[in-house]
Amino acid sequence: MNDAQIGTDLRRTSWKGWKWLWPGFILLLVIELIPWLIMGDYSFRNINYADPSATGGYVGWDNYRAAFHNSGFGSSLWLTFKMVFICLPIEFLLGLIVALSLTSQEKLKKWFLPIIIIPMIISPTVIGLVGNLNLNPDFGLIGITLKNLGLVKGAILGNYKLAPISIMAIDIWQWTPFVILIFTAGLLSLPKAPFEAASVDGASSWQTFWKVTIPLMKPIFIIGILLRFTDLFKEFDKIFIMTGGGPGSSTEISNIFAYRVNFQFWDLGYGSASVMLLYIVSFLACLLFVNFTTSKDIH
Amino acid sequence: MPVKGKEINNSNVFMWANILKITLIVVVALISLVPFLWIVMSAFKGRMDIMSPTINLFFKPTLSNFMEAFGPSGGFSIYFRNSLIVGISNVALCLIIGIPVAYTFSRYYVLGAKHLYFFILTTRMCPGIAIGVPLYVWFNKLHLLGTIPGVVLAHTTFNLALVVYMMKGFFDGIPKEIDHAALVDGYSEGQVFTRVILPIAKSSTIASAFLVFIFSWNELLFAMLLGGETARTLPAAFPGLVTALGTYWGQLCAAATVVAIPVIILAAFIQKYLVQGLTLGAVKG
Repeated sequence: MNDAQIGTDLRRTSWKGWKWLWPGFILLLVIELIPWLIMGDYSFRNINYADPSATGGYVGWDNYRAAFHNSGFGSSLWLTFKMVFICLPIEFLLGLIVALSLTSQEKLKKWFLPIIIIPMIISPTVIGLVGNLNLNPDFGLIGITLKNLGLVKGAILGNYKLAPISIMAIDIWQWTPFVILIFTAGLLSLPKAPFEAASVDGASSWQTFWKVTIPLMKPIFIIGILLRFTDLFKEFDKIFIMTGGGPGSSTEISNIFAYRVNFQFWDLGYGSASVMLLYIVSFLACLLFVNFTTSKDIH
Repeated sequence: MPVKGKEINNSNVFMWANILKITLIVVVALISLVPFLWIVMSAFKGRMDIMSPTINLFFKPTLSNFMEAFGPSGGFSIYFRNSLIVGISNVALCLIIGIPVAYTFSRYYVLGAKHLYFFILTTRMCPGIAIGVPLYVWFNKLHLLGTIPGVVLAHTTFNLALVVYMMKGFFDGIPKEIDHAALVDGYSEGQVFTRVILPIAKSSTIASAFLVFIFSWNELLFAMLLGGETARTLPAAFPGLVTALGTYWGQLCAAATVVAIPVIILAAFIQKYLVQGLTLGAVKG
């Protein structure tokens, strides 16, 4: 009887395991599902804490329509995607180049990896301060240097053109180490057989790289891309600290837009609809991630 | 002769490639380190040194920023305590609930488990604000706003997934024969878990614990939204130092140093597990 429950019986599913799943399930119900339902409900209502005329009655799809027509939501989403599609490839390529450079440098690796962990593991709030202080043109390390080189004349984070570039640069600074780490781990985990076969067949290192290394690394590449994609989509903390949405709305990514609508304008109806729409994108990304990682698992 | 020439050519290329690689590695390390070091150094600088328009490597170090921030008038020692309590409580909650869940996912074919597993993943991947808005409304009704338990619960929304995925990955790596052997020896299923499997899982458990603490300690959005003034954590106190009278750079840097250093130390201990934890068990570090 016990054998059947511990994973050897492939045909039978049971309720037995739920005795340990209940606490987690209930916890998630309370802090995830119910809030989601509340938000779904609010998104169909006219709720605005700052507007005395907002009665909280149901308004159908009005909030969603407003989200699609309102330029704020659209432009913040566009900015978010711009950030994703600029930062991701740069982090990917830089990370790959550095990871490859590390392959034969065992001694350097021991010192290098602990150091580069720092930007990616410290609080994004601190990263925001790093950005703020360093990029300050009057007394920041990078700001003063850029000013002395004549590349900037005044404010950096206060300049509506330079601010978005700066936050992307800070993101690349923060997360390239992550890419380096997982690619390094990935490179180490590659099987030796294909490489031996390639050298026996007389392949040059260039050919080996393109025909053996890259194809074998594909799963790791995809995991890295998916993770960075969803994390870039979740971006909030450091941009909030650095620019709070930027001069005007030049660095107002979706999450900061949603924060403003909900907690500065208190328009929770419209804000909930915006947030529901954001949810959908990340949900789709999850599907991709699960699809991809579980197809690689051999149960 | 031609062969010899070709050999020299190749080793030259190797030498230059090596030099380039090492230079790149050193440059990347410096870029990663220096901007952060600037903050830590500034934590020990007096106001004139921080705002100096030239880059000085030498300055007179002072502890005044730390004293101002963490002293009685600054309030940061309370925020530090709050961060600590939130972090440790979060670790306890996520481990106690998450590890049995991970074990169940690993060992049992349970109805609905796959859906729960996927649902747990979505919690890790959704933007904070998506949960923050409804949690604010929900916790308001439950009188949990501005309380530490509120913030702890909010942090669980993303940390539980971390524990479940990481520990499941670990449990999957333990052969089921061990479970069977223990069962044959007369252990009950619960005892198999507590007496046989858990002791093997010590280092993964510690790694998960450290990561949960790090993410909770670092977190800003929920701490700001749901902690208010009464349950304010360290990161949530940063915006308050940017006032209309000016930015308290010194105190900010001092607070940042205190927020960053413990995390770096913890991360150094669990280096081996970092990749696994951060990729939700998808890549074995």
